[in-house]
Amino acid sequence: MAPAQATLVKPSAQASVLVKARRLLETAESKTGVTPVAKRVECPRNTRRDAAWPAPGGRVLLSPGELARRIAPQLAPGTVAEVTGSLSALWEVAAVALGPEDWAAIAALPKAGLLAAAEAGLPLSRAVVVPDLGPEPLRVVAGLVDAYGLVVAGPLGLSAGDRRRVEARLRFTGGRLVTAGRWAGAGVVVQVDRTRVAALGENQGLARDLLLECEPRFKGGFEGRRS
Amino acid sequence: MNGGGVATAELVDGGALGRSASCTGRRLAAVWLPDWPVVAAVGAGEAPAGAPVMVADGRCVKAVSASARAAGVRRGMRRRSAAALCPDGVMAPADPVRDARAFEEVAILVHTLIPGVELLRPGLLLCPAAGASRYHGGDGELVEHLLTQLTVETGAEAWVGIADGLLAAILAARDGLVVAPGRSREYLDPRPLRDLGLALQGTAHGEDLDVLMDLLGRLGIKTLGDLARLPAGNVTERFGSVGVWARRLARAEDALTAPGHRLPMEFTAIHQPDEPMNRVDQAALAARALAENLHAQLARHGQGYSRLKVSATTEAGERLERTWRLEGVDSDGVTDRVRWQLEGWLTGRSGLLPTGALTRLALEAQEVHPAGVGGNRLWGSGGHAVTRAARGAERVNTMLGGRGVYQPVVQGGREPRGRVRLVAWGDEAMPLRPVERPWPGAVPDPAPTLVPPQPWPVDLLDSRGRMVEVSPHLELSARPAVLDKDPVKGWAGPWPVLDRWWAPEASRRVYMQVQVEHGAGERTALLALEAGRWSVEGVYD
Repeated sequence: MAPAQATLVKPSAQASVLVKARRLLETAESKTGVTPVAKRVECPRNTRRDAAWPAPGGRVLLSPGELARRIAPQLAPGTVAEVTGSLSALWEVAAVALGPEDWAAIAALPKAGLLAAAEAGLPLSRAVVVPDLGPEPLRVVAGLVDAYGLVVAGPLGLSAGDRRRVEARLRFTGGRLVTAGRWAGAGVVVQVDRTRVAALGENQGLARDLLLECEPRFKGGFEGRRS
Repeated sequence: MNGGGVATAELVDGGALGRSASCTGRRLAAVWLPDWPVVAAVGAGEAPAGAPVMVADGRCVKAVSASARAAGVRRGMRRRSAAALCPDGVMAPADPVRDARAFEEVAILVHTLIPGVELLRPGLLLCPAAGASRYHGGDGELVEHLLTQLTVETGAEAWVGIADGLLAAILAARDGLVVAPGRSREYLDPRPLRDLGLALQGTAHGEDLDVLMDLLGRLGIKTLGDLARLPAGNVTERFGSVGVWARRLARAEDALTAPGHRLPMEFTAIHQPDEPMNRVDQAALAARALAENLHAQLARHGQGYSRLKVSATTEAGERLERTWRLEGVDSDGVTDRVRWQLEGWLTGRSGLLPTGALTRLALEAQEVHPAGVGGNRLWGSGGHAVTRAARGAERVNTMLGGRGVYQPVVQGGREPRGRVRLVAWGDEAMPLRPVERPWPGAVPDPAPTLVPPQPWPVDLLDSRGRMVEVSPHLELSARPAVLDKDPVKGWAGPWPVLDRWWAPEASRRVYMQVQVEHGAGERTALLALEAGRWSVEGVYD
């Protein structure tokens, strides 16, 4: 197994050396006044959880953790949050939406990487998974909303009336719904247009830190620009 | 067959001895039918009557017949070793429902002789002995009477013992003894600690008890007498509820009915189905709902209980009743017992049981005591949210036909798909592979956020449109240029994974992370190369 270990470690070790080398080169370049031919991707490595950068078009480039931190105050009991375009954003938002004692139900997300959910801070020991909602999604969702403090759901295909019913139930039970599908009238809307991972280059490091280009919107105000 | 006939051992007395103050247990008669699963399997036609029989579940042997035991087969053995020791033996499947159903016949028979039967598990039941002994003219006569009836009516080997308290009665039955009133402490004193396990065989407390017995053994407490003499306060402090429970048993007391703990509260759960129940699956659902209802009531008052009375009324107006003793049985065990009982009544045989459907079901908690003294709260240690979540899971599971709700468990492994195990709700949520092992070659953090249940095949091509290959030395045949029409921007890896290289189904896999331009943005995917095909195992978004 030794060779496998070595190969596994190699890219990142190599990467740090490369980063150092590049930095040295850059300082040298700036000192001599030479400009590099190709501009590298402006995506910083080793992003901290609270990192945020301005992005073109008035958007922000956020790490999922920072996004969740900004959204957390908006997730009052009874809120529906629509998080589309990125599952890591979904998991981070779900993790902050889960109360300390609450249980979570993960519904209609058969392809979800649950390990990523656990890494985002959603405790799987307090979660149940319902991959398929069957022929009557409304009944099942209503049942989950009744019993779980947080329901994380994929696209549910509910009619407008059914959505109102679920919302009423959420308000009644004080639960929260975080959905990866469209939900007209959601209290929090996060639409991730692009996700960026630090450039891998030619085997220069493993995919590590994800950044989201997005525009979070809340009922009663646009807050995406705040930084 | 008449094993219990040796009821004339040294401890049988003439009643001259005074009742010692320390024996506070009720006078109990225990009826033990050894190797009951074997008897039930033979009775159900799953094994021939003469041959050596072994009852085994997927993992190990659960019960053996006398002839198989003579060949060296023991409980807890692996199936394979058992089959090797006893090649002409018949392996019957373990089925607690079958065992309970068959045992119902015995329970009914004993009930006609002594009212107030309590079932401990299929194969072992208890009944209050004091009144019945007086009626029959003595303990010895009662034993004789019971044995005669049991042997004549069921034909199975039965052992009967009478003593004070639960544990003494069970051990007395295994020895075929009558222990004189007040002398059960003496009887228990010299016995080894592991005899405690006999009272608990096959229950959920088992593991806790193993830990306790191991610990006590290392502390130099070898016999039940040693345990009984430990101060109560210290036992509670050091060993918790299992310790208290074990000490009570060792003192020949009833396990959970400490004096002064009796409460006047009544806890009953009643279910009256809209239409009479006559199907087993209906009974199973009703059993769960009833058990949960009862537990919810008890949890609200912070109470536990150690006896459960299941009663039902049939269409014909007949009333059926059965009491189960719940030593060390967890909430699932309770549901199981209720289900066994209902199924037993519904599929009853030999004309003993009603042919009619059930119109009313009731569960009653008896011997109620404060939870934590030995009682088990439903679903472990959690509070309200846990109960609510469990109830919700049950409800949704019912809507989805019983197999729709899963509990995720993180486990070890190399491929992202296998890192989280989905355990059907109600089963034990245990990882199959330990997380803490190194798992060389495992996909590094962060985990892909999208993991398709089936990896989808893709083409990873070089600039000339040929598939990128990986040499045994992990060199790429060319720079990857296109992944399914999206231009490749970068990659990491490849790194190899050898799964189970020692087994014939060994697979050699190579992982690689590939970053592509996709639409206006970019995507990063985890690819695997196996048997010359690239496929997407996960996506980072």
